[in-house]
Amino acid sequence: MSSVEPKDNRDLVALRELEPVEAPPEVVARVRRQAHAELEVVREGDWLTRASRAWNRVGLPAALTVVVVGYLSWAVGAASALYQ
Amino acid sequence: MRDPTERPLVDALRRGEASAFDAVYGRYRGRIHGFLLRLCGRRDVAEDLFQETFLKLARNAPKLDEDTDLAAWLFTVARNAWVSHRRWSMLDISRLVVLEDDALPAANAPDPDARADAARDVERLERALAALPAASREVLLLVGVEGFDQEQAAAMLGIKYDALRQRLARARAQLAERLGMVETKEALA
Repeated sequence: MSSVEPKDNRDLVALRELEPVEAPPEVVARVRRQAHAELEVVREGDWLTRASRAWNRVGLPAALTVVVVGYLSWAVGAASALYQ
Repeated sequence: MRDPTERPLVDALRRGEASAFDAVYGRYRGRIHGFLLRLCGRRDVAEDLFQETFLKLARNAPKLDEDTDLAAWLFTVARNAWVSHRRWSMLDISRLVVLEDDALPAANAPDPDARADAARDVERLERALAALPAASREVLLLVGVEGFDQEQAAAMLGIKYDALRQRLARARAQLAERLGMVETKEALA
């Protein structure tokens, strides 16, 4: 620890007076542009994720059900036709 | 310190809305860039880390928690980016670099004499800050310049509250010492 101790909070108050520093305008614009592109990827990714989840949870079981029920109907119909 | 008006912004960011990003960017870009510039002392590195910080915000927008404190999140990411950069560069930048004279703003007082005095004070403070060890500089920037409370700053730095208090006391003493040194040098010049 240093031998010099601040006697009050003046140093912290002085630090609070330091202003924000803007990046150069071209950097500000470039980062904004790239961030918007990232957000678009995120939104598309999010849409794909939601669609894929919906397909796995609802679409796929529904399609399987339709196929199974359809096949059973056909099988029962075919069997009864043969029997008659 | 969390701003309650940020909640809708966080919600919109989680939905990936570009306008929400713009609002956050407008609110924090000067503070984050100033923080990084003062932390690393190099304009080019500060700009790279600034870009990394905000692109990370865009990439992670949907994963943000509903109650995210954006200021704390951004400063933590910025600080971690700087730590990572330092680790890679394997150098203590604070020993090598002096802040560029035109990198930081001059004080903005109405009267020309007062403005000159204020600008000198700010420059003295900036130079003293830049000459401190990195660990001291980051704690002074977070608590002193950015006004985070000490518990928040401890969480952001990944250290315990008591350790932060010790580090802050040491940093303030070093700053006072540096300011004394700077003033003595100027008086002798």
